[in-house]
Amino acid sequence: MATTMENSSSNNDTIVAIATPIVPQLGGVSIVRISGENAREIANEIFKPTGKRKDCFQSHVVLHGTIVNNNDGEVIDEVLLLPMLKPRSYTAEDVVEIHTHGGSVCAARVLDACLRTNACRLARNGEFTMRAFLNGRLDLSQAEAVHSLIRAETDEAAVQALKTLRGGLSNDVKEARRRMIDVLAELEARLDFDDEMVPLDVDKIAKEVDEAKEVALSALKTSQKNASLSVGCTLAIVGRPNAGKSRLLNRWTKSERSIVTDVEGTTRDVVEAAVNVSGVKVTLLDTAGIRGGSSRSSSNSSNSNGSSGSDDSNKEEETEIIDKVEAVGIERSKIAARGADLCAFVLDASRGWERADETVWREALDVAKNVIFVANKMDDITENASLIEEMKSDPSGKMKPFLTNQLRVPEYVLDKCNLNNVVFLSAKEGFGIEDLESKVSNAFESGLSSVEGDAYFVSSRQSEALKHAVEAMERVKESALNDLPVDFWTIDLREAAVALGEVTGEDVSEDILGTIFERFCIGK
Amino acid sequence: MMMSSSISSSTTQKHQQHTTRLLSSSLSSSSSSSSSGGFRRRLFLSDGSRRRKTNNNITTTLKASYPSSSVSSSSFVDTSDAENYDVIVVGAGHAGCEAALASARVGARTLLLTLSLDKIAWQPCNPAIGGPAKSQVVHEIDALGGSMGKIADKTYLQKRVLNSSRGPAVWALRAQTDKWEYSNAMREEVESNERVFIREGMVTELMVNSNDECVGVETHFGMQFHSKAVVLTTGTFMNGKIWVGRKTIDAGRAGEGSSVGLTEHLINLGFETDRLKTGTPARVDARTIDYTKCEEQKGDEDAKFFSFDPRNHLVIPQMSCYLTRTTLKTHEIIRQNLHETPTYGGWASSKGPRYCPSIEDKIVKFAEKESHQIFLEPEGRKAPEIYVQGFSTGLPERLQLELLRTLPGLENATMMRPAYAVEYDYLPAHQCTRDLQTKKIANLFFSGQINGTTGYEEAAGQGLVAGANAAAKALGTKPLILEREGSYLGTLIDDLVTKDLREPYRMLTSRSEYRLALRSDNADARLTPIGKECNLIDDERFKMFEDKRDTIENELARLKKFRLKESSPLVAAALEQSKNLGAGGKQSFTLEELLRRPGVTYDKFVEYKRDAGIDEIPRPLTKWEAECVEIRVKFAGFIQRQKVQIDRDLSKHGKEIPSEIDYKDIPMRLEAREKLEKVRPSTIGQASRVGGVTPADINSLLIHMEVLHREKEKAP
Repeated sequence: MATTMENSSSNNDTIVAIATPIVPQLGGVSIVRISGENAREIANEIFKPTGKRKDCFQSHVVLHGTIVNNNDGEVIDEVLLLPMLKPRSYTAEDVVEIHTHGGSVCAARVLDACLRTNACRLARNGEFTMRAFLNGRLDLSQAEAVHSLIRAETDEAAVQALKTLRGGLSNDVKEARRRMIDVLAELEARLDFDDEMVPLDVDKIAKEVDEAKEVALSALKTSQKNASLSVGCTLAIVGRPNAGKSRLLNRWTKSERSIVTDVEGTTRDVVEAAVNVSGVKVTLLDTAGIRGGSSRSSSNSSNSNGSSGSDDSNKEEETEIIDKVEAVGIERSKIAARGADLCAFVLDASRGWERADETVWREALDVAKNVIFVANKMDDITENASLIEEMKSDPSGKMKPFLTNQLRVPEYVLDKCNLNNVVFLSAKEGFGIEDLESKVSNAFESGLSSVEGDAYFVSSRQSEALKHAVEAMERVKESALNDLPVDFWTIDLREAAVALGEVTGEDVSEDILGTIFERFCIGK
Repeated sequence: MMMSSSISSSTTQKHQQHTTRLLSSSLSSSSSSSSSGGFRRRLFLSDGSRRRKTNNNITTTLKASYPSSSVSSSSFVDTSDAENYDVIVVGAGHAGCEAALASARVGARTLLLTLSLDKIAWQPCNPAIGGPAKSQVVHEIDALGGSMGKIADKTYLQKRVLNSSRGPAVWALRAQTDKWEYSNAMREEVESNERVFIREGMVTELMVNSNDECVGVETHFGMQFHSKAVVLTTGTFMNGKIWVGRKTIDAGRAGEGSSVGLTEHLINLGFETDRLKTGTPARVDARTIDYTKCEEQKGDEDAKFFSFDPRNHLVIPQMSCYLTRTTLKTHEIIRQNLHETPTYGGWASSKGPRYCPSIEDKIVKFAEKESHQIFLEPEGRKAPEIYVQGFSTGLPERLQLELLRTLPGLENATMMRPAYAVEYDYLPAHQCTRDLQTKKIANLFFSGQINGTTGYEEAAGQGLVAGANAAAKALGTKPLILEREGSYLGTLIDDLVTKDLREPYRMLTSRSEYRLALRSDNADARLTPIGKECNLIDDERFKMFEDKRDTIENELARLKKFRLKESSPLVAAALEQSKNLGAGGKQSFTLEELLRRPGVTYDKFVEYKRDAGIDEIPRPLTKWEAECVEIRVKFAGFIQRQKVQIDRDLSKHGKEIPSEIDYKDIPMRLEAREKLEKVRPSTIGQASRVGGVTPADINSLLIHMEVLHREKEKAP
């Protein structure tokens, strides 16, 4: 529920933005800041606290929990939530800060979840500071600084507009808007000049509304793709401890970002690194190895002798010391795996499919959307590179029997990945990485356009507008279904066009009139 | 007394003393020759050329160097009490009449000056009132106590509701009126008002005192009329010029001389002026038309009315309009003679408004269309003149008849008046504030075509607002400010004073973003209380309004509570009416739920009035009240959504910008600064609607206002 308190600022929309610099891989924490009277309502909707009952925000008391997608309940990130209620906040309005994992991906997703509630809009440049000033939090000497912050938006917007002009998205937005204006002109011309025009073909208009919606929808998809382009796509590397995940990451990124040892459980947290796959930045998330479920996660690196132990579960039972840090890390891994665009499941081919793999799969991958099956440590099995080539050339005849018989990979796993998404490699020797890249690239293919990444700021504002437009178009359909007169359709159509016009900066009324007089022979 | 001494810039104090004396003398009506010293004199341009630019310097020089004008003081001495008024309205067209009547209603002694007493509220173009968007304006005028709706309800030849198959927000009543009856009825209305005085005269100058306040007018024949406020409604008359083909004549309307001198005077006062163009088609003789070849268009059997006051609802026999079409021959003649038209012959630079294209424009632009509709509309009950709607042309008169005779039914027609175009001066309305007062000269108001609009309804609406405000200014009562969010009239005025318009402005449905809230049926609920506060509504009318409002509200409340079992005959009938929907598994229904179902109307309740409990309410609802109830129930969801939007916009945009704000001090883009400086918007909302102003500019403005505010607080 929204708190309804009087607001001294004339801008009483609730605004949201990523408050920390958007730099991939840098910074341990990113902050998404919401300010305005709906701030608590939004937090309530997307934040699930650990243990405690929700809706008990106390000012300046930190809560721990997860951010979930409000349509499907999907977990987005594990976060800390800091409510600062008015007037004791930076803007002197209700402020909720969500501290996400660092890097750009988590923050962007949380931001998106906030916007999805439709209770806030993306903040403009300097808007938090402006509100702070308007609400008396900053003194006069700071006014000039606020001015320049706001001016920066205009300059930046001009630069960004130029950039996006070259991209496809701007054209998509324009096309969607043009369609809406066309339909609107068709309808509104009849409201003003009915007796001079041929009767309205309602079915045709309904079809055009649908088409306009489709264009907006596809533009929205493009914009979301583009947003992921600029912040990159994410790939979570998942597998049982010591399957070679960190080595794979290091080989891929040619760095020593993850500490690689032969000891199980070396990676205690999610490690982020980026690679470039056919021009797209892919953020790799190296996750802690997952053992038999978070509650039972145990063991630590020093006393585990897991060089290549064959019976994980026994060892786990032996080890009573619970490494809480690691437990948290493993929990995060699961979240990362669920939230990533793509998962690479890493199997230690030298050991084949074991119960531990079974557990990991069940814990993390059942819900994953796209999975690439990576058979690592192939160098331990065969010196013969041609064997791999042979399997690749005959997936059903050679690859499948190898996987099921020799590596004991269950049928349902292969069903989920399908044989096209199986990669044989050796992280240690470095072969098969290119193959993996091409699978990753293929998997992203459908989700990628050839456009160079637009700045996140601009594209997310565009997707916000497109999203509003699509929703408005949905309501048009509803009006049509409910047999409401066509002039009611124009209410939502206009809203859709206005939303898009805010991106392109064009005035709707004038455009409709222009189109009407251009297209129809009317007037006395 | 010499003007030059009192106005020199250094002697401000003296200057003010002088002004005070001047005002008090005019207030007490004891005019003396000394008080005329403050008036600016007309500037005669030595080269006789027209000036199109603002010119402040000349006025200043004029003010400083002109003596106290002993020439005119003698006539001034002679003026008796009779030549002193609260408000002077210049022009007696649709804007002028509403202005004078509104001014008189507020209580001001009002002089209505016109070029011709015989052409009051004349309809020189199509004699029709209403239509899409315009009808809302007429309902709003009526809700504010204006007269246009009432006169149209008395003098219509035909009435039709346009868009009747659409939603209630766009239902539009259109009346074809008898233009002689309309003019006579309005003249009676004006003449019967004891506070309105009518007089013929051509105003050539405004009298402006040294405080830049308008204090009267002067006519061509040298008369001076004094007042506390002046409303200018010059229509197409300021330097009006009529075109038929290549031939031209100075005229405001066919057969009426134009008004000369006033534009130059306004330019000298520092106003910006420009030219606009509009036109009217030919009139043919009804007796020479073969209507059997045309399609008849009858009026609605159950005519609706503009006025909310049932005493004005007059049921009179209606006349038909007729529909014919252009033929291949029409198109051929036009194509062959394009070089004879101003646009395609290349001797007219200015184009007409987009919504009044000439027939040659239609044929050139929409070459693929083989035929265009032409409407034949009567102009009066007794007169044979027929208006040929859709057939305006710039062709010379000798070709017009030939062209008319290509239309089916008009093969033997004779022409009574040729089509013509008219060009006239207007003053871009960003020079006015929302009360329609000019920013340069206080107590001077503009309304109608002088503000760049077209249409009788647009003119009348502005006239009412300007007249009410002129009177409020003169008498010190509450001004009439209409919000964009609350009325079409508010939208019209906001557009006028905010946007840089370069073609005649016509009210169109698509200009309002709030049209679900701004319906015809609720114009009284929206505006009558405002009108009452501004003294435009008398007690009797207001009581009538309150009764209607309460009846509707009570009935809405009752419908919500009154519940019927499934077995009730009314429920059965209502469910039958909307059977596609099913009963939704419900055992009982409130009347509101029943009324919300598609196809179910309030008539059903009347039909089953015992079931619906109508017998028990104090009095049955009138047709209009029932319609209001039905609309508010059926479209409640949409109406609520729009209300939320309006509330949000109002709270966001209502913040007032201090009038002394200096945009030069605000760091913002040059374009935004220039535009804002020109328009000088009164609220943040208006500022955000100025073309070329971005949200970032608005934020800069907000911060600057906060800075000003805090500085003011600091320095007590």
